[in-house]
Amino acid sequence: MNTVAGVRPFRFSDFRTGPARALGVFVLLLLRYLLALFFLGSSINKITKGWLWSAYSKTVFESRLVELDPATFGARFLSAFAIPWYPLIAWVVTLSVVAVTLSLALGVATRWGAALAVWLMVMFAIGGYYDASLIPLWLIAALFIVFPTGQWFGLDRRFHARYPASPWFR
Amino acid sequence: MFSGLRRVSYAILAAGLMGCSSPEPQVQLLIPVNDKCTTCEDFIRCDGGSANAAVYDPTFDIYQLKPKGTLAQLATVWEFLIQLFHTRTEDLRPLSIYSQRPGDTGGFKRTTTGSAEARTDLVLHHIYLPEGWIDQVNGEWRGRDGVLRGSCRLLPPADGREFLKLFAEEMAGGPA
Repeated sequence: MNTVAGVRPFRFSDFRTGPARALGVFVLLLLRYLLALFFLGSSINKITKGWLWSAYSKTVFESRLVELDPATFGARFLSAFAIPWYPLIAWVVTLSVVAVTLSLALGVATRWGAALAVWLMVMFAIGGYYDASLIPLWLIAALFIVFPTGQWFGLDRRFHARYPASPWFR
Repeated sequence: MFSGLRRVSYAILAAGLMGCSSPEPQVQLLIPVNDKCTTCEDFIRCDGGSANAAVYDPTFDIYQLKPKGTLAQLATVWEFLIQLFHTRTEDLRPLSIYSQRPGDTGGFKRTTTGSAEARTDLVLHHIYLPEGWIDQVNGEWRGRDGVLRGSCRLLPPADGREFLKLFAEEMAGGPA
């Protein structure tokens, strides 16, 4: 397969010709699929719990509000924004996690999917769900904004060849 | 490339289907503690002696299950990723114990023990403490030898924080 815009696709045979680069690319792709798996779990959870068609998200937010110290920003965010607007939040969160899962798993609009993942996780943190596990997830997602992993392995490569001017598949 | 993508798609589909397997039957717990929440603070009040609310007994312990430390929070990423293949059977939480006992000269004696650890058995639904354990199903409070010491209940976090103020006052030399 020819290179597209200078980005070489990943092949296992690269381990023979340039093992260091191949290993780096392989690790990044592995991390991408782990993050995709993480968001797949989140997508399945939200769909099976009926976030899109029930008030389940509201009960989730309300139970979290009880757990939080009322003086924290997360508690105020939940009571003033997330709980009153729970249908909107539920739709945005569910559709976003599904979009991130598809983007990272298929390598389509990968940089945008990773940016959406970072934004989602920032929103989770602001909304009272911060814990230290978000830090490595932010860093991992940031790697897929920086590096063209969708062109190493994914549909971005084909779409970029077809639509070279589009910013979506770079 | 498409054959590789197809393989990845099949793997994701298979992982998704595994996630749709029928869930374990839920046990109704009198003292539910969310083992997946790393930043939660839970307060369990255990009263000794009679379970009869009409008989006042000033002996009680408050167990404060604190948020997990940074490393334990980071470890949850790994636990989430392997949950399809490995079921967790226990959960560890930092613990502080606040005890009230009848005083020698009237009033109450209140003591605080920090830096302990609570281990929750997610199969038996027991919370193991330094000096005994709590049955999450029926709220029984038992000593290390299994002897019944009293009964426990989960406090709303706001009530738990109010109780801790009693102990803070004690430490500051306020009213007992």
